[in-house]
Amino acid sequence: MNRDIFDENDMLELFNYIGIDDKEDDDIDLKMDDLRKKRLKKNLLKQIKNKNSVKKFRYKAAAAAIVAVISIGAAVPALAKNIPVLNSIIQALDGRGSDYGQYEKYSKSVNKSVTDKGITLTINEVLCDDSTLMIGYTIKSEGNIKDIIKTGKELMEIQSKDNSFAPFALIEFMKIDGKQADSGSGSDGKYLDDHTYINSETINISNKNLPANFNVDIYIKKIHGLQGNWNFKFSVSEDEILKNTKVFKPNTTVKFEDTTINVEKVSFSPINTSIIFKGKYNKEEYRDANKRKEAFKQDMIMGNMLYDEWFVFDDNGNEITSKGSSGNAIDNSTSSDFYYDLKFVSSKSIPKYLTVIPYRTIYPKEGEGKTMRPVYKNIDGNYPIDLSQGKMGKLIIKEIKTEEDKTIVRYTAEGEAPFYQAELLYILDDKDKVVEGKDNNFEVKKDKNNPNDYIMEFEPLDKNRKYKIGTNPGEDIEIRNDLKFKIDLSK
Amino acid sequence: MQINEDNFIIELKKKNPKALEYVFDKYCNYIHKVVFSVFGSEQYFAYIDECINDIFMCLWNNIDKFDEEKGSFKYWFKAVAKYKAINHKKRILKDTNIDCIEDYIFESKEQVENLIVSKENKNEVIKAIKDLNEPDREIFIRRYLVQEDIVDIANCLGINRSAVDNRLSRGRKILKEKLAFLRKEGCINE
Repeated sequence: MNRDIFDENDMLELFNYIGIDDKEDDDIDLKMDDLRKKRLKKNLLKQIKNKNSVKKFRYKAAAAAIVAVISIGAAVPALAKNIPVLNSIIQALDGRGSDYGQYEKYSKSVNKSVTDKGITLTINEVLCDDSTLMIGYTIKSEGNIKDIIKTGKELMEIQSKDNSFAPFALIEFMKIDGKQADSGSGSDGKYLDDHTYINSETINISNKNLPANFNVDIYIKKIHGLQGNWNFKFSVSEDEILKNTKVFKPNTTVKFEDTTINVEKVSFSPINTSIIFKGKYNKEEYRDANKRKEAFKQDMIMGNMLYDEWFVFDDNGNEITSKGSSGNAIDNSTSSDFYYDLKFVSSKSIPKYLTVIPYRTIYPKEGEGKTMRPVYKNIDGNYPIDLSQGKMGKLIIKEIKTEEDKTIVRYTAEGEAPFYQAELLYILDDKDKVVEGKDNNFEVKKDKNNPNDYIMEFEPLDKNRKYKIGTNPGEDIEIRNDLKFKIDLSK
Repeated sequence: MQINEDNFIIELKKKNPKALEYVFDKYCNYIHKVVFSVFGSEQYFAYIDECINDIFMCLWNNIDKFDEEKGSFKYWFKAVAKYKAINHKKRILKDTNIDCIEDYIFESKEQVENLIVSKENKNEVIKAIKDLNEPDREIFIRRYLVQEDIVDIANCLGINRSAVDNRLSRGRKILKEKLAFLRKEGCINE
């Protein structure tokens, strides 16, 4: 029988029928030595860590560890005071900064509540386009909500002690049209008061081939440690947002060292910009991640291709910021080996073309993690302050001005990827606490009068205290300007 | 959370790295034995480690395929390990260009037992296999999917080789009958 027709999934399923143990095993007394075991185990855990961060539910905070910890830690009070009336949780939590997504406009209210064990969970609203489903929810408790749901630093602390701990997430309990939801992202929610917590979650649905109307079941069995039943059922429609979604099939082919990709679909919805592409390895053997590691001399390979992180710009050169990506291998296909679905914030207008600069994150080797820690210089009133970013270039601080409600830092970035470098700017106070961004937002703005200058706004600095300003001294990404390409959308 | 015999499968399904650690500690000697018995020699030391790694990764990614209702984890996992190990070995033999007599035997056997199923009918075939009686079903899966040697299957079931052959041929026959309607359409050749 030609078993090639079965894919691995079929086989693994059929293996369930094997129920007879061979006795032969016991004849050989064969044990692996401890060193070999240890090495294998370490490798294995390293791999699943990598894999986890790409495929599984992604906890944003872990991604850019240092920056994220800070922004989350600082976020709570700032946000609470910024939402006097909460029209849309999704808008409030996701529609910040340079994200022009019209979350509120397209949100559908669900407002279903279930109470169990003194905890009321409310699904407030849902929102979806052809690739993502967003859900905004509220948790109310009779007692202190902080005892039930943790955020920010506390979560990090629990996670560092117990790496199997996962923050509460709807996706774990969610079925979309009967199928288990499998990838998505979420970040820290916010406490509105002592009894109320809000959060939103984004679930990737682009791989599910859903009809325009579909059902969502969420059967929550526990919220962190607390067991209970909070069950929801509702249906979601993509109709309205699809009317306002523009889809292109650019069919752009780009050759990389390891793979040749084809950009199959670019879509602009009111809440997302998404780029879907498929890739085929240039050599058959590259299907094996270990072979790729060898061929490209990498210690660690995270995704299906080397440069799977892209800076994307519209036809005016404005960056369309990435929200995240998901990708996976495609089995049983002769034309492609993997696909990617890159998500970006929604674009203000539909550009005629997109410019892409591929890059990749360089992961610190074991024991070298410390080199990434930012280096600071004192703010002493003398400018410019040069902040070196190693080989990547440098930031030049031209001016720091404190107004009534904010402190404005004006600076330029020199080097390979000014837009990226510009984001790496932090201020510390005299207690080494990070100064939070204005409106809880570390967004980089361009100075309208000086196009080469950047502006970042912080909460106002106290004149009587000393502060330090800093950036990351080494490069943590490799940018491939030479691989820059265009995706033509004029057709 | 303490991972133990009762919860490791659930925790694996939840992608808890600690569960994988638990399975590794518990089964690595067992899996090593299985792989070693396929490779047959420490000469392939490096490949064996690669293969073991691959097996545990496969477990991590595919634990959803394991059906607690139907099977025992140990046997299922062993089948996975064997299947992976045999695949690895074939690949290595191909790569190193060493002519291995076994390969020729494999091939000739395959010709005799040829049952060509087109991709479109895959699901019917799977269903038909599931519908076979025990122990025919197990023998069938072991022989054609795990690609275990007939002699090994015979030894493990404590029956002789010709009995395995008989059961295999009976399985093929049943499958063929069940799928006769497909054959009419030219999808299945013998």
